[in-house]
Amino acid sequence: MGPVTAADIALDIRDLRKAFGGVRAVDGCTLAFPRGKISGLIGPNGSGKTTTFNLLTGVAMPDSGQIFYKGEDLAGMKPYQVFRRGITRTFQVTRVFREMTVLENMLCVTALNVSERVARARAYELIDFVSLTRLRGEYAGRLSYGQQKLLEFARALMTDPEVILLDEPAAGVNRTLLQDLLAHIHGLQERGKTIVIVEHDMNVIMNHCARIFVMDYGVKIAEGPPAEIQKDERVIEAYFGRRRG
Amino acid sequence: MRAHRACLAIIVAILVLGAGSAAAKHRPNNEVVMGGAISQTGQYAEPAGRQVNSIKLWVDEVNARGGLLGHKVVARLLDDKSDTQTAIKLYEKLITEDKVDLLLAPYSSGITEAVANVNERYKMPFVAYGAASSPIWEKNRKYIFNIVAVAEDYQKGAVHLAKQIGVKTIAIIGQDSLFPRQAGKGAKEWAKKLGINVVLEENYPPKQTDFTALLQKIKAAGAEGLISNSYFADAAAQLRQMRELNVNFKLYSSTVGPGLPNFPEQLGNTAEYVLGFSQWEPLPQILKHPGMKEYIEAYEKRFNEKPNYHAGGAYGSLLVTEAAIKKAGSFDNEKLREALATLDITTTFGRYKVDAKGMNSHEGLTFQILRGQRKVVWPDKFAETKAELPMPEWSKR
Amino acid sequence: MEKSDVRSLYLLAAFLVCAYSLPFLIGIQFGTVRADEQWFAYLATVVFAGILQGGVYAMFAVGLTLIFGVMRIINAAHGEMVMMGAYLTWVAFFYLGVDPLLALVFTLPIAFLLGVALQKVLLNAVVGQPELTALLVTFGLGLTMIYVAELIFTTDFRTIPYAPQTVQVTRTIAVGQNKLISFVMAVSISAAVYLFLKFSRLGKAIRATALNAEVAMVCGINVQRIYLVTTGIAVALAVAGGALVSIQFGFNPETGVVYTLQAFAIVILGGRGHYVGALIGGLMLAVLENLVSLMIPNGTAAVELAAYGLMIFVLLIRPGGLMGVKEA
Repeated sequence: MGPVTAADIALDIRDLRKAFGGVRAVDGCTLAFPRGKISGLIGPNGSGKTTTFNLLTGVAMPDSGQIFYKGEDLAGMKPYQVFRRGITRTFQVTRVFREMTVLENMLCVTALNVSERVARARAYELIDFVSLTRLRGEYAGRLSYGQQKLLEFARALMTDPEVILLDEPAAGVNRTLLQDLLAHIHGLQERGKTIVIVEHDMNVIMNHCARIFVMDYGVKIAEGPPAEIQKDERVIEAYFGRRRG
Repeated sequence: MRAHRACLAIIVAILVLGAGSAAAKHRPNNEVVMGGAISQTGQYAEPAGRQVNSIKLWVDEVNARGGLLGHKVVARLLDDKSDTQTAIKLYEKLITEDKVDLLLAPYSSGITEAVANVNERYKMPFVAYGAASSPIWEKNRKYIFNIVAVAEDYQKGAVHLAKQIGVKTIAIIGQDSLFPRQAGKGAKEWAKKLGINVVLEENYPPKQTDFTALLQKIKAAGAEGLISNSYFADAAAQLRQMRELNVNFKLYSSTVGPGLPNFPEQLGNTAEYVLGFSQWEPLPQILKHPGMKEYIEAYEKRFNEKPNYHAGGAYGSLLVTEAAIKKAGSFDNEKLREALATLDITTTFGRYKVDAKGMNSHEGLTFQILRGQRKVVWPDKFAETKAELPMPEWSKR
Repeated sequence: MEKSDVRSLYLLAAFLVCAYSLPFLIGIQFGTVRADEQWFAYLATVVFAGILQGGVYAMFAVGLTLIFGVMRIINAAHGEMVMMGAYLTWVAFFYLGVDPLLALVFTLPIAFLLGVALQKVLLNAVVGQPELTALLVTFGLGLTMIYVAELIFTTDFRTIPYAPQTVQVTRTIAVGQNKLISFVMAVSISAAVYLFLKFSRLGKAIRATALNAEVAMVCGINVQRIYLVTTGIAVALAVAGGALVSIQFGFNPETGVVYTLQAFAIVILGGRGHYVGALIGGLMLAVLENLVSLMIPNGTAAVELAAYGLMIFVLLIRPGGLMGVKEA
């Protein structure tokens, strides 16, 4: 493993552990997400992907391990502290303020060091970016699930973050919307952002990620470019072999 | 070092407290314990506190005179928090656990009515000084005696004064509890006797603070005078709101509130011309009861204010109890009861001579707040000055 | 709007018409309602006074609903905080000679800091616990405050003789100057808090936390800090309410209980955690109380019955309260 501050590593996760009761959800996981690339994090259900995201963003507290970002250990920080360092995320089950409008949802991101006018302009721009312009004044609770995902995605961009963690962005989103979303994700990557996607849709992972990390039973079992991963014995076993028996 | 000293202090404190409670249980023969629960907190704390003052004063005086039948008197005063249920429990405790020799009365008619069942059961007599509701003495109880004028007569003077100034219609309102209701009943009977029309009767909950609607209702009913069977807070609120709303009556009379020393002080000019009732006033030159002057001086010296009627009543009842014990020659409950039932004595509070029910026929006074001072205006034989009625309208003050 | 929602609104409107006409019907039955000009003047005075009173009630409720909305803590000590405000004002008036309204300049910051301290020391421990835990803790706090106040101030009733003059609003409606001042103050303070919540960044963060603390967290909101600010504001609102109580009514350490109950009724009526609902609930409750008191024989005693009856029926028709959204 390379040095912590290696210029090509955005998030350097070392020996991360988290147990819920007796279940070791993440059990000594070590991952290094490359800077400015789209990475995929895959694995069977219950392999610890979402827990890893939760540990990264302060939603859950790790039992041990480190998460290095720009030379600083994020492990154990509060969600708002991680957020203010430029790491934002979306959720598997969308988390939007259902009783607020689309625009109000965007403006709830209050940790901006910009004027109200600039924040508003950015919110409008991002709403346009995810094609929700017509629904700007609609209550978020009345949006379709896919639209809520787009809203959450747009909201994660309000602070112009450097690292964006997307938890199953494709689930429940129709094909057309999905293509738009993927185009946006590539657009962000081209602007130098680091993106990590947890996804079950293998087409999305294989066609859009530069590097893929595979988890099973809370540890990383494989890592590499898509072509390599597709052939990896351990991955195939993890997904198909053992589960069948 | 400091820690050691703190430890020592705590140990000493525990020893002292322990010794104190032990002494109460196995008291030496020369002590008698008088126990009672009186409201030291809660809505009755104000009047009851003045009775506590008199109790403390009397205990010191009686001990200075050699105690009761040669025994040193120790008072055990508990706080019933102005709550009936608490009072019942505390009296049970005083009688059965603490085994007090004599009982002191609680304050307020409602609490006394409840406690009367307890002391009746244990056959321990006392002279009630904080209860003026006659139903307490209409239940064939044998161990409770009264010294003060009953609630029914609290508004007697006010209704008579209303008649004198030609008021034809009155409204009677009051807090919804035993004593104010009895006072209201009495006021209504007096009004009927004197030919005054009662146009509205209403009781309000004890915690009422806003009387806006009630005052409008009284006006709408066409009342010229307002008879209010109230304590401090409600009477004060009524007066303030009468002024705020520019509601005028020819006469306003409250049962308890205006008799408390800080009533005119807190309300200032708004308290002027208000009528109130007093069981007693610290006016030896007018009332001419024996020992009054000395009592008033001693009380004022110790508590920096003149005793009001609550204080006076408690003191009087203790003098009655003292005389009864002397007459009985023992602390035996039956002998004491007999003595209290047959005693005829005039104390600082006036004459004590109870009827078969245990009720005293004490005559009260009606006063008016004039230029910040309470002045007795009724009955005529005790009047310090002539009543200034009808009350001037608020706009003309 | 969903169909069942619309239906419940119609039902609610029908119920409210009945509830407010009931005192009139009973009044006609007993002859306490008359049709002359003089009587309408009494009615107008009472309704007007009810509105003024309602504004102050609403301010109590706003403080209560704020804490509940953000932290799901039922603050059973809210009335005692009102009582504390009354005493702070009283001390400022009698010992320092400060005008009761001017006193707010320093009592409000003190109250805010007390709220922050309270949150740190006590309430942080019960956020996220079952609601009963928080209720018990704040109930205990309320009792403690009562006893401390009794030790310091005794149980004597206090009043502040402030602006006792009468104001002739119209030819027939008169009202106390202090009541008018209290209403104006209550409405301005409530409106200021409302605008703060609606438009300021911190206010938005508070609203976001109230809607969903988890989502707020991922929007970069420091939820712990929001809790501190919220309790600070709520205690300041209670203390401001206390100042307004102190210039209108007598108070002693135990009067807080009445205000807690009133605030509860209004919050439940208006919709838990709902701000505008609290304002409307406050006005509705106070006006109904006064109507009942004016027209029904022995109605002053029936006031609480009417208040809680109104609350229960509104809840039956709309479980979320007047302005409440049906909970998902």
